[in-house]
Amino acid sequence: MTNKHSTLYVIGDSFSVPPKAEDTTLTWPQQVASGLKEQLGHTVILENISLMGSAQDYCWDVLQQLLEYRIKQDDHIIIALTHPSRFWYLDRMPEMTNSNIIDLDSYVTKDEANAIEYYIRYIQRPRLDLIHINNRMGYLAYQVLKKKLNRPVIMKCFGQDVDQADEWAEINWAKGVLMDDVQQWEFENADADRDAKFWYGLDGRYNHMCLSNHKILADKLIHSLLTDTTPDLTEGFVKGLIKHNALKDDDFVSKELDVATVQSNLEHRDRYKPILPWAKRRKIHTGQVDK
Amino acid sequence: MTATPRLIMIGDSFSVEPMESTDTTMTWPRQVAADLGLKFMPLSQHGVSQDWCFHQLRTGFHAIDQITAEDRIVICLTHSNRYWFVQDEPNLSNMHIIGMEQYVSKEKNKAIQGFMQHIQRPQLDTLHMMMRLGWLTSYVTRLGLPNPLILRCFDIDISEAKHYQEISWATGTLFDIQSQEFAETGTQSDQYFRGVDCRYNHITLSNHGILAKKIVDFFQHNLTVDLTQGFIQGLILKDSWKDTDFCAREFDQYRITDMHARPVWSMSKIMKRPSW
Repeated sequence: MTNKHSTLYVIGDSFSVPPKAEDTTLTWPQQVASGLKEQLGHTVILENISLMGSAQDYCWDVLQQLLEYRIKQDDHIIIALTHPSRFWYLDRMPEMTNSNIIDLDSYVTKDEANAIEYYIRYIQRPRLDLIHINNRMGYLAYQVLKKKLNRPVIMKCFGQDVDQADEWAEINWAKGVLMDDVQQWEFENADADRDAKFWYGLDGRYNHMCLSNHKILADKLIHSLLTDTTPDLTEGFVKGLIKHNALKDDDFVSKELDVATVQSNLEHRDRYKPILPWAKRRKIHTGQVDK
Repeated sequence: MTATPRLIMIGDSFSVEPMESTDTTMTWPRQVAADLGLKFMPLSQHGVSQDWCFHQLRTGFHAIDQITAEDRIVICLTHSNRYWFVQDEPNLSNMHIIGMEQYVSKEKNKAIQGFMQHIQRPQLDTLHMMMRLGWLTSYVTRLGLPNPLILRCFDIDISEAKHYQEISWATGTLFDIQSQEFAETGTQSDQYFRGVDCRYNHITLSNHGILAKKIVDFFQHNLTVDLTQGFIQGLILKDSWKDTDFCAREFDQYRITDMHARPVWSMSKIMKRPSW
């Protein structure tokens, strides 16, 4: 082992957010850092700056500061790209970007909720979101080129159109989508109402994936970063491992899920009432139509 | 076939074409194109946002008649706090537009107000601008284009982008040229002209020639465009708008006529211009 070291920067939303401070579970970002360390023969420090519920703007705000002051040529970057319709509405709440958050209106003032609702209804549109995505990608591509950085890997968390994606040779786009190609196929019954049947609140998985798939994802990403090749999210993952009685299977829960979240969910199960997300209660449809 | 190289002009009212299509006045963008022997491609519009302007460039990079290394690009960078609120009304991006409710529905007007009061903030505006400039430099690099010249219309902080080698920045702002044309310090052009600035591109014609020369010198001799000096200051006096000769020499005659016809301080009709 040499004194040399590099840093793995992971930026994104709940698909990449680190476990709670007291939780020592090795999720995929930590596994990637460990794998890189093993393969490169030097220390690899993990800097996971992901934030639950954040918007692309938040991620690029963080990225901009890192690119300006910290990221160096030997470092690696992985971005879990959240949905472009999320908007960083309030500076003080970068995690409050998603109108599908169940109780968004309980965290903001009435005037702020109205402003957010009217923005979504009358201003936000896919064409504008797309312009902003392309700007972010162009900015990143330029920084990578000028600073001669390793190509960042970008994984789409949700299906989204990035029409200029192929033009950015400086970005390594993963094939497939974490939401559509990995997380949803983990359920034996892909059509089940997951919240009502399994979670009773928060998703009990780390980063919306069972730990078996964390290992698979980490291996793909390590290979991708070391060989500068495209990671494939469309195959190779374990499917159907969450059975209908999964939460009663202690071995399964301890092996695959976030035990503390699952226990908390189960303890509050009696009080769980399906609440429609704020956007649905207000009959707001995000990012669907140009207006 | 080799197409004639173009001067591609993108921005807001500081570089927009005259209101009347028959007006042949040599404004500074026209003068630059003529002096450089370039075909003039005016894409500026009144009141537009940076998003709209950069969307024109994006279209230009992908069009059949796409931007080439022979073309020259001038961007008049408007304020980053303008927002492309309504897809088909890019002119309505400016919070200072009077009577916004005349142009958009009640709901959209409420949405714009709510956005400005509760969501919009300088930090977010600047972040979006930095992304646009990064996107631009990426394309300039990839396509091997000569540096676009960017003139800041207003005093906006461009942060690290001022060091981008793929962009040539003018020093100073166009706003400073326009405000220093008034002899009386602190005169607001809106008040002076009763709502619509009667100057072409907010600058008297004497200064158009000076500005055009500086830009031609940039393209021909790689001289930095300095907007902070060399312009005529204090030439608009309190009663200049009554001075027929001065108005004929320095202002847009159609707008002067329009201003005299307007009994009250109001906004004139917004003219739409062709986009790419």
